[in-house]
Amino acid sequence: MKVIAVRQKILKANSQAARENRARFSRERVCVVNILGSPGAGKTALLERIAGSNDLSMAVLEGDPETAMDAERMEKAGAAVIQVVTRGTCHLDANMVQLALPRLDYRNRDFLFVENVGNLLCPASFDLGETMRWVVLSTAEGADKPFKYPAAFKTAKAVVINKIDLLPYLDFSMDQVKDGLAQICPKARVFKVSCKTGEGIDPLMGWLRGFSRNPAKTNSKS
Amino acid sequence: MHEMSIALSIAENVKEVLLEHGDVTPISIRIRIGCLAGIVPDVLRFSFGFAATDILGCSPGLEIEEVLVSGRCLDCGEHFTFDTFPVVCPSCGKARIDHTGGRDLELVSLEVEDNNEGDRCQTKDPESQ
Repeated sequence: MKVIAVRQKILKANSQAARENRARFSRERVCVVNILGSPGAGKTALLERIAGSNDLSMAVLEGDPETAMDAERMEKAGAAVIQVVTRGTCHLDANMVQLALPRLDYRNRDFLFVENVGNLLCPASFDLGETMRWVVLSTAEGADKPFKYPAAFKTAKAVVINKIDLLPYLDFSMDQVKDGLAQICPKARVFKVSCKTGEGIDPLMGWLRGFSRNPAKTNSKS
Repeated sequence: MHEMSIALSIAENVKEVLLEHGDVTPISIRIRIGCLAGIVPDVLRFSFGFAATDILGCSPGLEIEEVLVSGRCLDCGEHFTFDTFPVVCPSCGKARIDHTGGRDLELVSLEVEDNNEGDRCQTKDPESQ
């Protein structure tokens, strides 16, 4: 009996594909946002709002276990889009993104949004080569989610709290979610929005424009 | 929920290592899993049985070392480890905690038997699938 010391990352194949994606996105000067959130948090609704602002050029990669419904919504909203159907798999990985890219017209656009499979747990483990991650959390889900899903929130550059129009009808505690975010991801930007009414979308758009690789668009709407 | 993906990755990693040590049988696999990695050890062990049988043609044991999160209290400076949120400093009770680690997913080592002393675990040729 002998022991072979290995010490390597279990997801090293994914890390390698993610590195390749990241190098490619950097070369192509596109800012890539990996969006995590529970099913129904409002990830697609947020992207519809962003697409509807009409002053950012964007493409969307939709990840869903089944159906092309989200891609159809984004197409209607005017974005270049591709649907990746994972056939039940609970997350996107870097290789799935790599395989889908040739079929998506994302070059020469400012942003590529990757809407991950609705799930706060599994997608957190898989680097896609993105520039940054966002987590969309809706008020109907409850304020305890940062504490319950620390891996997803820990890596978030922005947390979008959606459905604030429902606050009068819910027991959602803004203080509790603030405590959770302060402990898990103190540096994340927090935006409170309603994708339904449009409330709170402007500050998010203003912040987002700062990441546009095309300086002409950075201050197009101030 | 994504334990099967992780189990398949572990088996692929092991297969790669075994190819460099061609005349051995894996008996047990040692991994490190951070307690924030979102992995349930029992589910991973269950999934690994299938993944290993499929990819390695045998089912070595899986020893899981759980890695805690390292915390440092920003108020009193206390260093400590923990495994879940919310967390407060065990020394002063405050909640401003700087934390690192706990998301590890690492293959540490393989315990193997020399081929002459036991049954050979044949790894499958990917071309034949």
